[in-house]
Amino acid sequence: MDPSEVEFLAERELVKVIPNFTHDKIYLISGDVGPFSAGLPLPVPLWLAVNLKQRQKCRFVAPDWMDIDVLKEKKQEEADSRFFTPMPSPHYMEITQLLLQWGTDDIPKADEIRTLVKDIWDLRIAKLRSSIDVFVKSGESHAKLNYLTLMEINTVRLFLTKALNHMHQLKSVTSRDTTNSNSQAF
Amino acid sequence: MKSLKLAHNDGHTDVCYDSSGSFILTCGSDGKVCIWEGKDDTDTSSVNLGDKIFAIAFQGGRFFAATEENTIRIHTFPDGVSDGMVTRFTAPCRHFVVSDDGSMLVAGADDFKIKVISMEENECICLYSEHQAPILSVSIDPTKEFIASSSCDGTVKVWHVIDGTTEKTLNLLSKCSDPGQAKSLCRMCWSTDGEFLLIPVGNEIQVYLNSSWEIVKKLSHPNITDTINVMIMCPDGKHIAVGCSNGDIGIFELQGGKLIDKHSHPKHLPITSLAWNPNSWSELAFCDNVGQLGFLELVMADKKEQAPKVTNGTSIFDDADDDDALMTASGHVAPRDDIDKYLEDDDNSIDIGSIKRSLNLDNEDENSVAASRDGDDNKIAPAPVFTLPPDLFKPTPPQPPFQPGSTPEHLSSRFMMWNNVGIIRQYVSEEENSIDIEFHDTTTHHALHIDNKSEYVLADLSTQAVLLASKEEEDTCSKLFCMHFGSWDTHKEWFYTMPMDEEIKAITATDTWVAVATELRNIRIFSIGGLQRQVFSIPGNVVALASHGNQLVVVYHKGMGLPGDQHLGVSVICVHGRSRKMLINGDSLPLSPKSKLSWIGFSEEGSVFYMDVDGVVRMLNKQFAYTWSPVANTKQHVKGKSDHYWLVGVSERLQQIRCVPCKGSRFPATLPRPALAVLPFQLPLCEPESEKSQYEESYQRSYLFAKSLSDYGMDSEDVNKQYRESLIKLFAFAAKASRDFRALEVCDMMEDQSLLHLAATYATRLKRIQLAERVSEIMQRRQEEEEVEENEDDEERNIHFSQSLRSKGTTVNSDEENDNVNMTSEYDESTTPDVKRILNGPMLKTHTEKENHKVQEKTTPRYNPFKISRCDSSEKRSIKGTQVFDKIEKVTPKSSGIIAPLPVSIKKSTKKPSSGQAKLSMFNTKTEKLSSKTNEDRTVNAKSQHSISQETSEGPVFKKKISAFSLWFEEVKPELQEEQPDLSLDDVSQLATERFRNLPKEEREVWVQKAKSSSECGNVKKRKLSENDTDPSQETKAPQHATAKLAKFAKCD
Repeated sequence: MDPSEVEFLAERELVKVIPNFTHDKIYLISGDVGPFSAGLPLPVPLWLAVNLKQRQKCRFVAPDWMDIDVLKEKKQEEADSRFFTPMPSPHYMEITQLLLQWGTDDIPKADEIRTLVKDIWDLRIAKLRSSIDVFVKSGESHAKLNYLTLMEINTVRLFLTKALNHMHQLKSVTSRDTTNSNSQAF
Repeated sequence: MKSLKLAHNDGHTDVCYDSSGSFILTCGSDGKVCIWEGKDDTDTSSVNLGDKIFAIAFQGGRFFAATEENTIRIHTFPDGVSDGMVTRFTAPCRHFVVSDDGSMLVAGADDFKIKVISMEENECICLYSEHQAPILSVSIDPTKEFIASSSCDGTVKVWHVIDGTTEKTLNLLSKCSDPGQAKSLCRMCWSTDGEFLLIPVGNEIQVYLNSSWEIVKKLSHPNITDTINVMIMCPDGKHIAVGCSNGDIGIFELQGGKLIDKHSHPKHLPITSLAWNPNSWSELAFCDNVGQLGFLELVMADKKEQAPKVTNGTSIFDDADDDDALMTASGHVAPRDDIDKYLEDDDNSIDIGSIKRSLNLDNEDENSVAASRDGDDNKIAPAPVFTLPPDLFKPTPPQPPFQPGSTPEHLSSRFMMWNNVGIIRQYVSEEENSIDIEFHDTTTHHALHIDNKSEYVLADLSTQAVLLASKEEEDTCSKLFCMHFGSWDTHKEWFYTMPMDEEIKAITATDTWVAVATELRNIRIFSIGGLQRQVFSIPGNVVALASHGNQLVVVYHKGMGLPGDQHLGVSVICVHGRSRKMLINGDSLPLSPKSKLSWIGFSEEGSVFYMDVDGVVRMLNKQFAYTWSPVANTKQHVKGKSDHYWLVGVSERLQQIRCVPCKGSRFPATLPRPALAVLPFQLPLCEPESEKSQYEESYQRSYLFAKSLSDYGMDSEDVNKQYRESLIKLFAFAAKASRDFRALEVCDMMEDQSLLHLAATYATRLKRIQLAERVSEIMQRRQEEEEVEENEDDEERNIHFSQSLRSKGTTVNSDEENDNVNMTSEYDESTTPDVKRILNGPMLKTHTEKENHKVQEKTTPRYNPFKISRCDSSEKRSIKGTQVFDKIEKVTPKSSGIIAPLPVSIKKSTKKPSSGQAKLSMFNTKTEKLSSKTNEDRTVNAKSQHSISQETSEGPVFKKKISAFSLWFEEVKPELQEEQPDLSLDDVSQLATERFRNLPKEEREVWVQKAKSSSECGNVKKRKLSENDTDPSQETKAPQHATAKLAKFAKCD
């Protein structure tokens, strides 16, 4: 899966915006949005939020978790825990990316938030790598990881599946070789 | 108070005089020491020391400065050349003092240490480290025996200079972690003879006696409302100057404890330092926390002690904002003396003189020495001093006027207005004074930026105009400025200058007019184009204005409230348009105890709402005699105790309170941009968590808003639906709990028939026959009322009908019964879709389904008196007393499709005008058409009824249906009427029905037989009418056929 596809999926998440226009409900295939009343926060899909923002029709309202203190706490929790911790949003990375890309002015301390989210991401990816390492080294047939987000899975999917495939092939070849050599010995 | 001079940057600023009193030295966060030559100096020389300077002192031709480098350095005066270092700490030194003779310096720092430095040897003679937190302030006893120190750990310690042993620890202050967060800088001072230690605690000064360290006196005054930040003793030893966090500066007399002078900082900024001119005690210099230096000219502190000059009588309604309001205590002198006399023997009062005499007899000499030193005037021995008893009446300071939706004026960036239209922000700084206007809806207007040269401080915004007003300055009058951007011509602005001494206190703007409230209690109304329209007066000082459409709300001070309370009056006036009238004339505005008004305004729809500082939102309830109903408490939603909601708007249609959540404050800062939150309304009913209360609350609330909205011609589907739902829920809840009376009360609140109908159905399902009957009575009554209202012709007809009833007797009566049967069953039909709709609502679904099951299990022992004759006369039915429809119900797997057995059919011999009959049959045909697709059963049913109704509508001649009851009724009617002469015909027939039902079975049978025979010998016309029926007994079969079909249909379903 392409990262852009993951982003596309993330764009269905609802975020709050404050529109600067008044409009009736708009009826969309994915559901109704609105009614828009100027100055009042309203949840809309991320894609619509970004679209409105690009046309300067709204301001973003940072989600509750997009706050320095919350993220710091989250980061600490993530650093302290051996396992993955649940994220405030299943698409935290994509939402942060999109909101900060288009609405730096609307989100207080945008730079710090970007850094914090990136830190959390790095922590989790490092954790993911090390767990893959443990998994491969131990030679287990399956492993379970909780609370991974789609984007995170996506970063390792291609490589991991291919690598495991190769390893499997190599393993089966070597085992065949050994059996062959064994039979030849007799 | 003269205008302030900007000396330093924002931050803590300190001030001191040189020993001659001709120079003033200030220091601040910009690292400079400014030297002012007298108070009128404009060209100052400054010495740059580099870092933030926390404290400054002058001694012996040199000055000392404590900087952020954690050192105290000596500098020469006036050149500022460094002359060595006194001491060094590991953290910044916040406060230090030099003893009067210059031999000793005491400094306290953030590293919890206090150093006592002997200036002669320039070495530390004592290091005191008993405090657990950064030091706030230090103070040396004039005898140099003790040092008092206050700290962020909340304690004040008194200790010996010599060895640093603690003499006394007082827990007086609130704890904090950092001196920057301390509520008060807690500058303490000693009386000149070292007898007393004065400590500012909150808004009072506590006086402690040396050696016993007992509190002997408290100096306070109702006009000193905020925390005392700094305090300084006048060199004459008789007066104390205090500077408060709200910018008030007060002068207390030490002996009498009176407040003899009070001044306010024009911007109410905290006072960070005070200094008396050592040369002329009438001059007091002070600094605030934004680096400004100011001077006060005092009337009392002359070298010769004078009686305080009376500037003007103290009036409690003198505006507290008045910069120059001299709050002399002279107004209180006379009563105080009386009180003193009265309290002579009071235990609460403490005579300092006597304490002194008893405790330190040896001090007598010293005292007299001091007295003689003070001059000739002070011959009298110190008069006995009394403290004010705590329960003495203190007038509550009246709430100053404010603009709803604005934040305080002293902030450098603040909201001037936040309402439903947009946001106005004001930025005040050295470089700029500007106003930003932003509209929520950019289609209203684009954002505006105004250079605020005229120093506007009040603002309001409507969709047509921006209204700004300035305060009155010394030489300029108050100005009103309107930017009418909605105008279609090119002149979009207009100005007005208020008359002299008539300062604008509050303003408000709508789309067509603006209103201004002034100091002279005038309300001036201008048209939006700038015409002066009206001037009228209000009875008190204005507190706030709000407007919407053609209504204006004025809130003003009505009088003196009970201690702690505001006494506000409110008027709602239609000031524009055709009718100009008072909707509310000067009612008292209900506020929570000891609170103030914090917001008032209109909802988007036009109802008046307001919020007090306790967070209670109230609404003008026009349905309930123009009372104020609490509709929400924003405090319920806050997370922390010190959090508040700052209201900006209300919407009734959406039932929203729009507000800004403020963490740890009452109002939001402009940056970061505050996010709007939406709170729901909730009426404060008892036991809010109980299910019943929730339904009641939901009903009350939706009723309130549904009515209010319909007043404005806006019917909201949602609100109406909610209102109906909650009523039904409430009914169901009461009925289930066997609270029949209560359930009936709920029914009384139901306004439309379909709801009542639903309630009746529900009651029947629950087998609450009595309840169901009563519900249908209500229904009946309602319908009658409606009819009376609807059509007077109907009424006439009724009269006519009752006459014919009397004359024709049997005939009519039987007919009427039929009517009823038809009518009711038809009514069932007609209301069914409605009922179904409601039944299919999400909330009742579970209930009804459950009930259905019950109904299926047992047969309803419903007993229809009207059906008896027919049932009995036609054929023996296996289930006695069961209605035709009941049978269907039994076999129908789901009755939600056919709601047949309704208790409504109990209606007994009601007069039903024949016109109604025709109408109903017409309706029936309609339903027939409509329902033919969906429900065959019903169609059949309807058809059968239709035929009957056609027959019956032919008139009273139609005789075949003479029932046993009617025969019997005719027989007993005279008897009954005799028995109950005061009953109407209706009631008599009703009574008769009851009695007939109670007749023994055999007796009834006799009447049934009679009825049969009489109907068989009916006249010829009947044959003509019922052509397709050969037999009257078969006639009744028609509906039966239908029901049989229905039953079959239901079965094969």
